Amino acid sequence: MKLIFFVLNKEEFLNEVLESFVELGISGATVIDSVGMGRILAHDIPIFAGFRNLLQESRPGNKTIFSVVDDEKIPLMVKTLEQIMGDLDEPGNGIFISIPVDFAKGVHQF
Amino acid sequence: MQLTDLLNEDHILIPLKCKTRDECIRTLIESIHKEGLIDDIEKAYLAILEREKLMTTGVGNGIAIPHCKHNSCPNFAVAFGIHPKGVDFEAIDKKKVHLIFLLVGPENNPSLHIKLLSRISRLMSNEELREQLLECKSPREALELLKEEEGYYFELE
Repeated sequence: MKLIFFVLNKEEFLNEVLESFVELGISGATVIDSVGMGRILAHDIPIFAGFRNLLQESRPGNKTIFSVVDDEKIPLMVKTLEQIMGDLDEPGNGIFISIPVDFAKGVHQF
Repeated sequence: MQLTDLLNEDHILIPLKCKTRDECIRTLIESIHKEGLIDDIEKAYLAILEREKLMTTGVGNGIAIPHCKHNSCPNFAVAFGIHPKGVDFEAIDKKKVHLIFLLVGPENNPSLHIKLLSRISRLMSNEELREQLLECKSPREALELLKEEEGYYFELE
């Protein structure tokens, strides 16, 4: 099993992303309102105000989704997320991270 | 499997000319019933209307996805209709509905049911596809478009 984090910068894709999770058989995930570091640096810390054009984060917020999923689902998840919002290596699209899980309880199927 | 595996040209109705939401649902479900995929059409029809009472399946952008899971529907089946004039589904955005997907399935497989609903919803989030479907003049044309688009999606398990 893996713990996955997906930072979704383009919040307008949230429904589509969650629908794709359902199609993949992922029965649950947690969605958190979040803010990128660049946004805080550029807008809340005056000394960095002059670097706004360098700090990619122009959006006021993003969503962080996390879930525990079977290992074999990871490649298809990434492929599907990239179909929805484009290459994750391109700045501003999102960040996908997976971490091995050594114990989980309470993860249920549909 | 793919959603479009459940669709065939006989389940695609172009144009739908019904005047009301309930007539559209009735017409679409009859297209499935003709193939013997539903045990009891009246029960299935009422189950779909019951689901509509819970909350409209007019999800906005001219799309509605009426559906039910009911023991009168032992098989998963999909029908699709295009209503050029638009029909009132009390949609969440108050707009008339032009593209209607009807999904029925058994009660004992909610997992596949929710996957199929998600697939329909995700396909219909593609604005270009919606516009192309509205231009379709025949079931074959619409089915080919849907199959082509779903070809980019993974198989449902």
